[in-house]
Amino acid sequence: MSSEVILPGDPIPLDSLIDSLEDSDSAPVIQLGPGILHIPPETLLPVRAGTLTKLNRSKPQQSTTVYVDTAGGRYVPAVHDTILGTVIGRFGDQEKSFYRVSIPDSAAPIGILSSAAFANAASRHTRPNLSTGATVYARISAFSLALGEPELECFDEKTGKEGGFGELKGGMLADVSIGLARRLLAPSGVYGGSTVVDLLGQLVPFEIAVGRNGRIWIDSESSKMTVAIIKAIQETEEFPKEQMEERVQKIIKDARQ
Amino acid sequence: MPRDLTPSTIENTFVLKALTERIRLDSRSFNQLRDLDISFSSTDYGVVDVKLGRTRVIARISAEITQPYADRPYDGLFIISTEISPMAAPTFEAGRKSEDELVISRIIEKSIRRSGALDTEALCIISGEKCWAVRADVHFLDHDGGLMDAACIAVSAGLLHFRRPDITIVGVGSRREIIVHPITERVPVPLAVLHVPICVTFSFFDVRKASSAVAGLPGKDNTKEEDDDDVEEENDSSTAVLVDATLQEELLRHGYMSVTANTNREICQIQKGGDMPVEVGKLLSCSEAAIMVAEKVTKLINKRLKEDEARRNVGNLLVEARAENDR
Repeated sequence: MSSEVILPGDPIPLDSLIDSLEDSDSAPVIQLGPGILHIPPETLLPVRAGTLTKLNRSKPQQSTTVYVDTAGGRYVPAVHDTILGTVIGRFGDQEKSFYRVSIPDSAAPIGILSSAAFANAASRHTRPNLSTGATVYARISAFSLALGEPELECFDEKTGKEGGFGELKGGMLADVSIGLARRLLAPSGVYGGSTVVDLLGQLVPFEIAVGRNGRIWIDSESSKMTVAIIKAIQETEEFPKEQMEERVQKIIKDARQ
Repeated sequence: MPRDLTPSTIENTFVLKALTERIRLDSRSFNQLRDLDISFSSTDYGVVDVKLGRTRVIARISAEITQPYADRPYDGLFIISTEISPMAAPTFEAGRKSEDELVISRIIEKSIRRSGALDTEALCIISGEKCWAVRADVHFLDHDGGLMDAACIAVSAGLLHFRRPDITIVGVGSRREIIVHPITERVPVPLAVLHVPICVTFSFFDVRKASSAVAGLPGKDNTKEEDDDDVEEENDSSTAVLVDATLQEELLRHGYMSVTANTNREICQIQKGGDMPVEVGKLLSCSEAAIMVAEKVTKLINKRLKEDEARRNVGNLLVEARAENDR
Protein backbone atom coordinates (compact mmCIF):
# COMPACT_ATOMS: atom_id res chain seq x y z
CA MET A 1 0.00 0.00 0.00
CA SER A 2 1.23 3.47 -0.77
CA SER A 3 -0.25 6.89 -0.36
CA GLU A 4 0.38 10.47 -1.36
CA VAL A 5 -1.54 13.71 -1.01
CA ILE A 6 -3.41 14.59 -4.18
CA LEU A 7 -5.54 17.52 -5.35
CA PRO A 8 -8.41 17.56 -7.84
CA GLY A 9 -7.04 17.62 -11.36
CA ASP A 10 -3.62 16.24 -10.50
CA PRO A 11 -2.43 13.65 -13.00
CA ILE A 12 -2.44 9.98 -12.02
CA PRO A 13 -0.04 8.22 -14.39
CA LEU A 14 -1.48 4.87 -15.33
CA ASP A 15 1.98 3.33 -15.46
CA SER A 16 2.53 3.97 -11.77
CA LEU A 17 -0.49 1.82 -11.03
CA ILE A 18 0.43 -1.01 -13.36
CA ASP A 19 4.11 -1.07 -12.44
CA SER A 20 3.35 -1.83 -8.86
CA LEU A 21 1.69 -5.07 -9.88
CA GLU A 22 3.80 -8.16 -10.07
CA ASP A 23 4.20 -9.75 -13.44
CA SER A 24 1.51 -12.19 -14.28
CA ASP A 25 -0.04 -13.72 -17.31
CA SER A 26 -3.39 -12.04 -17.00
CA ALA A 27 -3.98 -8.41 -17.89
CA PRO A 28 -3.58 -5.97 -14.98
CA VAL A 29 -6.81 -4.97 -13.28
CA ILE A 30 -7.28 -1.53 -11.81
CA GLN A 31 -10.28 -0.93 -9.60
CA LEU A 32 -11.39 2.66 -9.10
CA GLY A 33 -12.68 3.72 -5.73
CA PRO A 34 -14.32 6.93 -4.55
CA GLY A 35 -12.91 10.28 -5.65
CA ILE A 36 -11.51 9.19 -9.01
CA LEU A 37 -13.10 9.95 -12.34
CA HIS A 38 -12.39 7.76 -15.33
CA ILE A 39 -12.28 9.56 -18.66
CA PRO A 40 -12.08 6.87 -21.37
CA PRO A 41 -9.92 5.52 -22.71
CA GLU A 42 -7.26 5.79 -20.06
CA THR A 43 -7.26 9.09 -18.18
CA LEU A 44 -7.74 8.99 -14.43
CA LEU A 45 -8.63 12.24 -12.72
CA PRO A 46 -8.96 12.83 -8.98
CA VAL A 47 -12.10 14.85 -8.23
CA ARG A 48 -11.47 15.58 -4.58
CA ALA A 49 -8.53 16.39 -2.33
CA GLY A 50 -7.13 13.73 -0.07
CA THR A 51 -4.67 10.91 0.12
CA LEU A 52 -4.32 8.86 -3.03
CA THR A 53 -4.37 5.33 -1.71
CA LYS A 54 -3.39 2.23 -3.68
CA LEU A 55 -4.05 -1.27 -2.42
CA ASN A 56 -2.51 -4.21 -4.22
CA ARG A 57 -4.17 -7.58 -4.20
CA SER A 58 -2.93 -10.85 -5.58
CA LYS A 59 -6.11 -12.85 -5.01
CA PRO A 60 -8.33 -13.68 -6.77
CA GLN A 61 -6.32 -11.91 -9.44
CA GLN A 62 -3.53 -9.35 -9.66
CA SER A 63 -5.24 -6.04 -9.10
CA THR A 64 -4.78 -2.55 -7.74
CA THR A 65 -7.52 -0.63 -6.03
CA VAL A 66 -7.00 3.09 -6.17
CA TYR A 67 -9.06 5.77 -4.47
CA VAL A 68 -8.85 9.18 -2.79
CA ASP A 69 -9.13 8.88 0.96
CA THR A 70 -10.54 11.76 3.01
CA ALA A 71 -11.12 12.05 6.71
CA GLY A 72 -14.35 13.98 6.65
CA GLY A 73 -17.66 13.98 4.89
CA ARG A 74 -20.93 12.35 5.72
CA TYR A 75 -21.26 8.63 6.04
CA VAL A 76 -22.87 6.91 3.08
CA PRO A 77 -24.15 3.45 4.05
CA ALA A 78 -22.68 0.46 2.28
CA VAL A 79 -23.49 -3.22 2.63
CA HIS A 80 -21.26 -5.11 5.15
CA ASP A 81 -20.40 -1.94 7.05
CA THR A 82 -20.75 -2.12 10.80
CA ILE A 83 -22.50 0.83 12.35
CA LEU A 84 -23.49 2.10 15.78
CA GLY A 85 -27.07 3.27 15.95
CA THR A 86 -29.74 4.15 18.45
CA VAL A 87 -33.17 2.55 18.58
CA ILE A 88 -35.76 5.28 18.20
CA GLY A 89 -38.92 3.30 17.70
CA ARG A 90 -40.61 0.04 16.98
CA PHE A 91 -43.33 -0.99 14.57
CA GLY A 92 -45.08 -4.13 13.41
CA ASP A 93 -46.97 -6.74 15.40
CA GLN A 94 -45.96 -9.36 17.95
CA GLU A 95 -45.02 -11.94 15.35
CA LYS A 96 -43.02 -9.70 13.10
CA SER A 97 -41.72 -6.50 14.53
CA PHE A 98 -39.05 -4.05 13.43
CA TYR A 99 -36.92 -1.46 15.13
CA ARG A 100 -36.27 1.92 13.68
CA VAL A 101 -32.62 2.70 14.27
CA SER A 102 -31.16 6.16 13.91
CA ILE A 103 -27.72 6.18 12.31
CA PRO A 104 -26.19 9.51 13.30
CA ASP A 105 -24.23 11.50 10.73
CA SER A 106 -25.39 9.28 7.90
CA ALA A 107 -26.71 10.13 4.47
CA ALA A 108 -29.58 7.73 5.22
CA PRO A 109 -30.32 8.62 8.83
CA ILE A 110 -32.75 5.84 9.71
CA GLY A 111 -32.19 2.10 9.37
CA ILE A 112 -34.59 -0.77 9.82
CA LEU A 113 -33.65 -3.65 12.10
CA SER A 114 -35.91 -6.69 12.16
CA SER A 115 -36.35 -8.29 15.55
CA ALA A 116 -35.63 -11.58 13.79
CA ALA A 117 -32.26 -10.34 12.58
CA PHE A 118 -30.47 -11.41 15.75
CA ALA A 119 -28.59 -14.57 16.65
CA ASN A 120 -30.93 -17.20 18.18
CA ALA A 121 -33.96 -15.23 17.04
CA ALA A 122 -35.79 -18.19 15.54
CA SER A 123 -38.38 -18.17 18.28
CA ARG A 124 -40.30 -15.14 19.37
CA HIS A 125 -39.31 -15.77 22.98
CA THR A 126 -35.58 -15.66 22.43
CA ARG A 127 -35.66 -12.41 20.52
CA PRO A 128 -34.18 -9.44 22.32
CA ASN A 129 -36.50 -6.73 23.51
CA LEU A 130 -34.88 -3.38 22.83
CA SER A 131 -36.24 -0.23 24.39
CA THR A 132 -36.13 3.20 22.81
CA GLY A 133 -32.70 4.72 23.31
CA ALA A 134 -30.86 1.40 23.24
CA THR A 135 -27.59 1.40 21.34
CA VAL A 136 -27.03 -1.39 18.83
CA TYR A 137 -23.92 -2.51 17.03
CA ALA A 138 -25.26 -3.71 13.69
CA ARG A 139 -24.22 -4.57 10.18
CA ILE A 140 -25.83 -3.16 7.06
CA SER A 141 -27.26 -6.11 5.16
CA ALA A 142 -28.98 -4.32 2.32
CA PHE A 143 -28.89 -0.79 1.04
CA SER A 144 -29.27 1.21 -2.09
CA LEU A 145 -29.81 4.93 -2.31
CA ALA A 146 -33.03 4.29 -4.22
CA LEU A 147 -34.26 1.99 -1.47
CA GLY A 148 -33.83 4.72 1.08
CA GLU A 149 -33.60 2.98 4.40
CA PRO A 150 -30.70 0.65 5.06
CA GLU A 151 -31.56 -2.80 6.41
CA LEU A 152 -29.63 -3.87 9.48
CA GLU A 153 -28.66 -7.19 11.03
CA CYS A 154 -27.22 -8.00 14.43
CA PHE A 155 -25.32 -11.24 13.86
CA ASP A 156 -22.10 -12.38 12.26
CA GLU A 157 -22.85 -13.13 8.64
CA LYS A 158 -20.31 -15.93 8.46
CA THR A 159 -21.19 -17.87 11.59
CA GLY A 160 -24.74 -16.75 12.25
CA LYS A 161 -23.71 -16.26 15.87
CA GLU A 162 -23.83 -13.10 17.93
CA GLY A 163 -20.20 -12.15 17.19
CA GLY A 164 -20.21 -8.93 19.21
CA PHE A 165 -23.27 -7.50 17.50
CA GLY A 166 -26.46 -6.52 19.27
CA GLU A 167 -27.30 -4.17 22.10
CA LEU A 168 -24.40 -2.49 23.88
CA LYS A 169 -24.78 -1.86 27.58
CA GLY A 170 -22.75 0.48 29.76
CA GLY A 171 -19.79 2.39 28.41
CA MET A 172 -19.98 5.54 26.38
CA LEU A 173 -20.41 6.67 22.77
CA ALA A 174 -18.25 9.27 21.08
CA ASP A 175 -17.92 10.84 17.66
CA VAL A 176 -14.85 10.49 15.48
CA SER A 177 -14.30 11.42 11.85
CA ILE A 178 -15.39 8.74 9.41
CA GLY A 179 -11.83 8.56 8.15
CA LEU A 180 -10.62 7.64 11.62
CA ALA A 181 -13.44 5.12 12.01
CA ARG A 182 -12.29 3.46 8.81
CA ARG A 183 -8.70 3.39 10.02
CA LEU A 184 -9.68 1.95 13.39
CA LEU A 185 -11.43 -0.92 11.63
CA ALA A 186 -8.61 -1.59 9.18
CA PRO A 187 -6.32 -4.54 9.90
CA SER A 188 -2.97 -3.70 11.51
CA GLY A 189 -0.52 -2.50 8.91
CA VAL A 190 -3.03 -0.99 6.53
CA TYR A 191 -3.16 2.82 6.90
CA GLY A 192 -0.48 2.42 9.55
CA GLY A 193 -2.97 0.19 11.34
CA SER A 194 -5.25 0.89 14.22
CA THR A 195 -2.19 2.22 16.04
CA VAL A 196 -4.00 4.12 18.73
CA VAL A 197 -6.04 1.09 19.79
CA ASP A 198 -2.90 -1.05 19.93
CA LEU A 199 -1.17 1.57 22.05
CA LEU A 200 -4.09 1.90 24.41
CA GLY A 201 -4.41 -1.87 24.62
CA GLN A 202 -0.91 -2.13 26.02
CA LEU A 203 -1.72 0.39 28.73
CA VAL A 204 -5.23 -0.30 29.91
CA PRO A 205 -7.93 -2.96 29.49
CA PHE A 206 -10.96 -1.69 27.63
CA GLU A 207 -13.65 -2.65 25.14
CA ILE A 208 -14.23 -0.85 21.88
CA ALA A 209 -16.81 -1.02 19.10
CA VAL A 210 -16.29 1.08 15.98
CA GLY A 211 -19.13 2.09 13.70
CA ARG A 212 -18.29 3.13 10.17
CA ASN A 213 -20.68 6.04 10.61
CA GLY A 214 -18.07 7.78 12.73
CA ARG A 215 -19.14 6.62 16.15
CA ILE A 216 -17.21 4.60 18.65
CA TRP A 217 -18.29 2.88 21.83
CA ILE A 218 -15.85 2.48 24.72
CA ASP A 219 -16.16 0.71 28.03
CA SER A 220 -13.48 0.45 30.68
CA GLU A 221 -12.86 0.15 34.41
CA SER A 222 -14.12 3.63 35.35
CA SER A 223 -15.84 6.67 33.88
CA LYS A 224 -12.63 8.60 34.25
CA MET A 225 -10.70 6.04 32.23
CA THR A 226 -13.41 5.84 29.57
CA VAL A 227 -13.31 9.62 29.14
CA ALA A 228 -9.52 9.44 28.90
CA ILE A 229 -9.59 6.70 26.26
CA ILE A 230 -12.10 8.63 24.15
CA LYS A 231 -9.93 11.71 24.48
CA ALA A 232 -6.82 9.78 23.46
CA ILE A 233 -8.52 8.41 20.34
CA GLN A 234 -10.09 11.72 19.28
CA GLU A 235 -7.07 13.88 19.99
CA THR A 236 -4.34 11.84 18.34
CA GLU A 237 -6.10 11.32 15.00
CA GLU A 238 -3.55 13.36 13.07
CA PHE A 239 -0.48 12.60 15.19
CA PRO A 240 2.57 10.82 13.83
CA LYS A 241 3.35 7.58 15.63
CA GLU A 242 5.99 8.74 18.13
CA GLN A 243 3.99 11.77 19.17
CA MET A 244 0.87 9.67 19.45
CA GLU A 245 2.63 7.23 21.76
CA GLU A 246 3.76 10.01 24.04
CA ARG A 247 0.37 11.71 24.14
CA VAL A 248 -1.61 8.52 24.72
CA GLN A 249 0.69 7.52 27.56
CA LYS A 250 0.29 10.92 29.18
CA ILE A 251 -3.50 10.93 28.92
CA ILE A 252 -3.77 7.46 30.47
CA LYS A 253 -1.26 8.30 33.19
CA ASP A 254 -3.20 11.45 34.10
CA ALA A 255 -6.42 9.45 34.29
CA ARG A 256 -4.84 6.96 36.71
CA GLN A 257 -4.00 9.66 39.24
CA MET B 1 -35.65 14.17 6.25
CA PRO B 2 -33.61 15.83 8.97
CA ARG B 3 -34.55 14.83 12.44
CA ASP B 4 -33.51 15.80 15.91
CA LEU B 5 -30.48 14.12 17.29
CA THR B 6 -31.60 11.50 19.75
CA PRO B 7 -29.17 10.82 22.56
CA SER B 8 -29.03 7.17 23.54
CA THR B 9 -29.60 5.70 26.97
CA ILE B 10 -25.89 4.88 27.18
CA GLU B 11 -24.90 8.51 26.75
CA ASN B 12 -27.53 9.67 29.20
CA THR B 13 -26.46 7.21 31.89
CA PHE B 14 -22.77 7.78 31.39
CA VAL B 15 -22.90 11.57 31.37
CA LEU B 16 -24.96 11.66 34.55
CA LYS B 17 -22.75 9.12 36.29
CA ALA B 18 -19.60 10.97 35.25
CA LEU B 19 -21.09 14.23 36.54
CA THR B 20 -21.65 12.69 39.98
CA GLU B 21 -17.90 12.02 39.91
CA ARG B 22 -17.43 15.60 38.71
CA ILE B 23 -16.05 14.54 35.33
CA ARG B 24 -16.99 16.22 32.06
CA LEU B 25 -16.50 14.43 28.79
CA ASP B 26 -13.93 16.90 27.51
CA SER B 27 -12.20 16.88 30.92
CA ARG B 28 -13.05 20.51 31.57
CA SER B 29 -14.05 21.66 35.03
CA PHE B 30 -17.73 22.54 35.54
CA ASN B 31 -17.23 26.30 35.22
CA GLN B 32 -14.63 26.31 32.49
CA LEU B 33 -15.25 27.77 29.04
CA ARG B 34 -14.00 26.02 25.95
CA ASP B 35 -11.13 27.58 24.01
CA LEU B 36 -12.42 30.84 22.62
CA ASP B 37 -10.91 32.36 19.52
CA ILE B 38 -12.02 35.67 18.04
CA SER B 39 -10.60 36.93 14.76
CA PHE B 40 -11.54 39.85 12.55
CA SER B 41 -11.49 40.10 8.80
CA SER B 42 -8.30 41.72 7.64
CA THR B 43 -10.07 43.69 4.91
CA ASP B 44 -13.66 44.44 5.93
CA TYR B 45 -14.89 46.18 9.04
CA GLY B 46 -17.38 44.34 11.21
CA VAL B 47 -16.69 40.79 10.08
CA VAL B 48 -15.94 38.53 13.04
CA ASP B 49 -15.15 34.86 13.19
CA VAL B 50 -15.79 33.31 16.61
CA LYS B 51 -14.70 29.80 17.48
CA LEU B 52 -15.89 28.37 20.77
CA GLY B 53 -14.47 24.88 20.89
CA ARG B 54 -15.84 23.26 17.77
CA THR B 55 -18.73 25.72 17.47
CA ARG B 56 -18.07 28.35 14.84
CA VAL B 57 -20.04 31.49 14.11
CA ILE B 58 -19.37 34.34 11.72
CA ALA B 59 -21.11 37.69 12.14
CA ARG B 60 -21.12 40.43 9.57
CA ILE B 61 -22.23 43.96 10.38
CA SER B 62 -23.34 46.26 7.59
CA ALA B 63 -25.01 49.64 7.39
CA GLU B 64 -27.08 51.50 4.84
CA ILE B 65 -29.10 54.69 4.82
CA THR B 66 -32.90 54.37 4.98
CA GLN B 67 -35.94 56.15 6.31
CA PRO B 68 -36.68 55.76 10.04
CA TYR B 69 -39.98 54.39 11.33
CA ALA B 70 -42.65 57.08 11.38
CA ASP B 71 -43.27 56.67 15.12
CA ARG B 72 -39.58 56.85 15.99
CA PRO B 73 -38.15 59.68 13.88
CA TYR B 74 -35.01 60.07 16.06
CA ASP B 75 -34.01 56.40 16.05
CA GLY B 76 -31.95 54.51 13.57
CA LEU B 77 -32.63 50.88 12.74
CA PHE B 78 -30.83 47.89 14.13
CA ILE B 79 -31.68 44.42 12.87
CA ILE B 80 -30.11 41.12 13.88
CA SER B 81 -30.69 38.25 11.51
CA THR B 82 -29.99 34.80 12.93
CA GLU B 83 -31.04 32.19 10.49
CA ILE B 84 -29.58 28.77 11.11
CA SER B 85 -28.88 26.82 7.96
CA PRO B 86 -28.27 23.07 7.69
CA MET B 87 -24.58 23.95 7.40
CA ALA B 88 -24.40 24.14 11.19
CA ALA B 89 -26.00 20.75 11.76
CA PRO B 90 -28.23 18.57 9.58
CA THR B 91 -31.03 18.88 12.14
CA PHE B 92 -31.65 22.46 11.09
CA GLU B 93 -33.87 22.86 8.08
CA ALA B 94 -33.50 25.77 5.71
CA GLY B 95 -36.46 28.12 5.71
CA ARG B 96 -38.21 26.44 8.62
CA LYS B 97 -37.64 27.79 12.08
CA SER B 98 -37.26 25.12 14.71
CA GLU B 99 -38.04 25.80 18.33
CA ASP B 100 -34.34 25.87 19.20
CA GLU B 101 -33.71 28.40 16.51
CA LEU B 102 -36.49 30.65 17.81
CA VAL B 103 -35.05 30.52 21.31
CA ILE B 104 -31.59 31.36 20.01
CA SER B 105 -32.74 34.35 17.95
CA ARG B 106 -34.86 35.58 20.82
CA ILE B 107 -32.06 35.41 23.33
CA ILE B 108 -29.68 37.23 21.00
CA GLU B 109 -32.34 39.83 20.29
CA LYS B 110 -32.92 40.36 24.00
CA SER B 111 -29.23 40.32 24.86
CA ILE B 112 -28.05 42.84 22.34
CA ARG B 113 -30.84 44.83 20.79
CA ARG B 114 -33.20 45.22 23.70
CA SER B 115 -30.42 45.75 26.22
CA GLY B 116 -29.52 48.88 24.25
CA ALA B 117 -25.99 47.82 23.41
CA LEU B 118 -26.15 49.97 20.31
CA ASP B 119 -27.24 53.57 20.71
CA THR B 120 -29.82 53.79 17.93
CA GLU B 121 -30.32 57.52 18.41
CA ALA B 122 -26.77 58.04 17.26
CA LEU B 123 -27.78 56.49 13.95
CA CYS B 124 -30.18 59.29 13.15
CA ILE B 125 -29.06 61.54 10.30
CA ILE B 126 -32.03 63.81 9.58
CA SER B 127 -34.92 63.22 11.96
CA GLY B 128 -37.87 61.55 10.30
CA GLU B 129 -36.15 61.42 6.95
CA LYS B 130 -32.82 59.63 6.94
CA CYS B 131 -31.10 57.28 9.32
CA TRP B 132 -28.60 54.47 9.34
CA ALA B 133 -29.92 50.92 9.33
CA VAL B 134 -27.36 48.67 10.95
CA ARG B 135 -27.73 45.02 10.17
CA ALA B 136 -26.02 42.08 11.86
CA ASP B 137 -26.06 38.86 9.90
CA VAL B 138 -25.10 35.86 11.96
CA HIS B 139 -23.96 32.74 10.13
CA PHE B 140 -23.71 29.52 12.08
CA LEU B 141 -21.03 27.39 10.48
CA ASP B 142 -20.60 24.57 12.96
CA HIS B 143 -22.76 23.47 15.85
CA ASP B 144 -21.24 21.91 18.91
CA GLY B 145 -23.39 23.57 21.53
CA GLY B 146 -23.41 27.13 22.82
CA LEU B 147 -24.70 28.69 19.59
CA MET B 148 -26.22 31.65 21.38
CA ASP B 149 -23.11 32.31 23.45
CA ALA B 150 -20.93 32.29 20.36
CA ALA B 151 -23.40 34.39 18.36
CA CYS B 152 -23.65 36.96 21.13
CA ILE B 153 -19.88 37.29 21.33
CA ALA B 154 -19.69 37.56 17.55
CA VAL B 155 -22.30 40.33 17.27
CA SER B 156 -20.89 42.28 20.22
CA ALA B 157 -17.38 42.11 18.84
CA GLY B 158 -18.66 42.94 15.35
CA LEU B 159 -20.41 46.09 16.56
CA LEU B 160 -17.20 47.23 18.24
CA HIS B 161 -15.17 46.51 15.15
CA PHE B 162 -17.54 47.97 12.56
CA ARG B 163 -16.94 51.38 11.00
CA ARG B 164 -19.54 53.20 8.95
CA PRO B 165 -18.62 55.76 6.28
CA ASP B 166 -18.50 59.34 7.45
CA ILE B 167 -21.24 61.68 6.22
CA THR B 168 -21.77 65.43 5.95
CA ILE B 169 -25.04 67.26 5.54
CA VAL B 170 -25.01 70.25 3.23
CA GLY B 171 -27.71 72.80 2.52
CA VAL B 172 -30.71 73.81 4.60
CA GLY B 173 -34.41 73.02 4.83
CA SER B 174 -35.83 70.86 2.10
CA ARG B 175 -32.69 71.26 0.00
CA ARG B 176 -30.49 69.39 2.43
CA GLU B 177 -28.24 66.78 0.95
CA ILE B 178 -26.22 64.01 2.49
CA ILE B 179 -22.73 63.36 1.22
CA VAL B 180 -21.39 59.90 2.02
CA HIS B 181 -17.60 59.86 2.10
CA PRO B 182 -16.16 56.56 1.01
CA ILE B 183 -13.84 54.97 3.56
CA THR B 184 -10.92 55.51 1.22
CA GLU B 185 -11.55 59.21 1.41
CA ARG B 186 -12.27 59.84 5.07
CA VAL B 187 -11.60 57.86 8.22
CA PRO B 188 -14.77 55.83 8.87
CA VAL B 189 -16.70 56.30 12.09
CA PRO B 190 -17.23 53.65 14.80
CA LEU B 191 -20.73 52.90 16.09
CA ALA B 192 -21.90 54.21 19.45
CA VAL B 193 -21.69 50.99 21.45
CA LEU B 194 -22.89 51.64 24.99
CA HIS B 195 -21.94 48.34 26.57
CA VAL B 196 -20.75 44.89 25.52
CA PRO B 197 -23.28 42.21 26.44
CA ILE B 198 -21.92 38.68 26.75
CA CYS B 199 -24.25 35.71 26.98
CA VAL B 200 -23.33 32.71 29.13
CA THR B 201 -25.41 29.55 29.17
CA PHE B 202 -25.53 27.34 32.23
CA SER B 203 -26.77 23.78 31.85
CA PHE B 204 -28.38 22.03 34.78
CA PHE B 205 -28.27 18.31 35.34
CA ASP B 206 -30.31 16.62 38.01
CA VAL B 207 -27.69 14.12 39.13
CA ARG B 208 -30.17 12.35 41.39
CA LYS B 209 -31.52 10.91 38.19
CA ALA B 210 -28.16 9.23 37.73
CA SER B 211 -28.80 6.62 40.42
CA SER B 212 -32.15 5.64 38.98
CA ALA B 213 -30.75 5.49 35.47
CA VAL B 214 -27.86 3.30 36.55
CA ALA B 215 -30.29 0.95 38.25
CA GLY B 216 -31.80 0.38 34.85
CA LEU B 217 -35.00 2.25 35.53
CA PRO B 218 -34.90 5.09 33.07
CA GLY B 219 -38.24 6.22 31.79
CA LYS B 220 -40.81 8.89 31.83
CA ASP B 221 -42.65 7.69 34.95
CA ASN B 222 -39.53 7.92 36.98
CA THR B 223 -38.64 11.43 35.99
CA LYS B 224 -42.21 12.64 36.47
CA GLU B 225 -42.11 11.64 40.09
CA GLU B 226 -38.93 13.49 40.73
CA ASP B 227 -40.15 16.64 39.06
CA ASP B 228 -42.98 16.83 41.56
CA ASP B 229 -40.54 16.93 44.46
CA ASP B 230 -40.35 20.04 46.55
CA VAL B 231 -37.82 22.58 45.44
CA GLU B 232 -36.56 22.90 49.01
CA GLU B 233 -35.36 19.35 48.97
CA GLU B 234 -32.78 20.24 46.39
CA ASN B 235 -29.37 20.98 47.68
CA ASP B 236 -26.16 21.79 45.94
CA SER B 237 -25.14 18.20 45.38
CA SER B 238 -28.36 17.30 43.57
CA THR B 239 -27.75 19.69 40.67
CA ALA B 240 -24.69 19.90 38.51
CA VAL B 241 -24.26 23.29 36.85
CA LEU B 242 -22.11 23.33 33.72
CA VAL B 243 -20.86 26.38 31.88
CA ASP B 244 -20.66 26.31 28.07
CA ALA B 245 -22.10 22.88 27.36
CA THR B 246 -21.14 20.95 24.24
CA LEU B 247 -23.84 19.69 21.89
CA GLN B 248 -23.91 16.31 23.60
CA GLU B 249 -24.36 17.93 26.99
CA GLU B 250 -27.00 20.26 25.58
CA LEU B 251 -29.02 17.32 24.30
CA LEU B 252 -28.90 15.55 27.64
CA ARG B 253 -29.36 18.44 30.07
CA HIS B 254 -32.48 18.75 32.19
CA GLY B 255 -32.60 22.52 32.23
CA TYR B 256 -30.64 25.58 31.25
CA MET B 257 -30.34 29.24 31.99
CA SER B 258 -28.85 31.88 29.74
CA VAL B 259 -27.58 34.96 31.49
CA THR B 260 -26.36 37.98 29.58
CA ALA B 261 -24.13 40.32 31.51
CA ASN B 262 -21.61 43.06 30.88
CA THR B 263 -18.55 44.44 32.57
CA ASN B 264 -20.61 47.09 34.36
CA ARG B 265 -22.00 44.17 36.38
CA GLU B 266 -25.40 44.64 34.76
CA ILE B 267 -27.60 41.68 33.96
CA CYS B 268 -29.14 42.34 30.54
CA GLN B 269 -31.24 39.27 30.17
CA ILE B 270 -32.05 35.98 31.84
CA GLN B 271 -33.79 33.13 30.11
CA LYS B 272 -34.53 29.83 31.77
CA GLY B 273 -35.63 26.75 29.91
CA GLY B 274 -36.13 23.08 30.51
CA ASP B 275 -38.20 21.47 33.21
CA MET B 276 -36.00 22.02 36.19
CA PRO B 277 -36.60 24.49 38.99
CA VAL B 278 -33.69 26.73 39.92
CA GLU B 279 -33.51 28.15 43.41
CA VAL B 280 -32.51 31.71 44.26
CA GLY B 281 -29.01 30.84 45.43
CA LYS B 282 -28.20 29.20 42.14
CA LEU B 283 -29.61 32.14 40.20
CA LEU B 284 -27.32 34.48 42.10
CA SER B 285 -24.24 32.33 41.77
CA CYS B 286 -24.88 31.88 38.04
CA SER B 287 -25.27 35.62 37.57
CA GLU B 288 -22.03 36.18 39.41
CA ALA B 289 -20.31 33.60 37.25
CA ALA B 290 -21.77 35.16 34.10
CA ILE B 291 -20.30 38.53 35.06
CA MET B 292 -16.90 36.91 35.54
CA VAL B 293 -17.10 35.27 32.11
CA ALA B 294 -18.28 38.54 30.56
CA GLU B 295 -15.26 40.32 31.98
CA LYS B 296 -12.92 37.68 30.64
CA VAL B 297 -14.50 37.62 27.18
CA THR B 298 -14.67 41.41 26.92
CA LYS B 299 -10.98 41.55 27.78
CA LEU B 300 -10.24 39.11 24.96
CA ILE B 301 -12.39 41.08 22.49
CA ASN B 302 -10.57 44.29 23.38
CA LYS B 303 -7.22 42.60 23.05
CA ARG B 304 -8.09 41.28 19.59
CA LEU B 305 -9.48 44.69 18.55
CA LYS B 306 -6.20 46.31 19.56
CA GLU B 307 -4.21 43.74 17.62
CA ASP B 308 -6.42 44.26 14.59
CA GLU B 309 -6.04 48.01 14.76
CA ALA B 310 -2.30 47.73 15.07
CA ARG B 311 -2.24 45.50 12.00
CA ARG B 312 -4.36 47.93 10.00
CA ASN B 313 -2.27 50.92 10.93
CA VAL B 314 1.19 49.64 10.16
CA GLY B 315 3.17 52.63 8.96
CA ASN B 316 0.36 55.07 9.72
CA LEU B 317 2.14 57.99 11.36
CA LEU B 318 -1.11 59.70 12.32
CA VAL B 319 -1.76 56.91 14.82
CA GLU B 320 1.60 57.58 16.45
CA ALA B 321 0.83 61.28 16.64
CA ARG B 322 -2.57 60.99 18.33
CA ALA B 323 -3.13 63.28 21.29
CA GLU B 324 -4.44 60.47 23.46
CA ASN B 325 -1.22 58.45 23.20
CA ASP B 326 1.16 58.16 26.11
CA ARG B 327 4.02 60.61 25.94
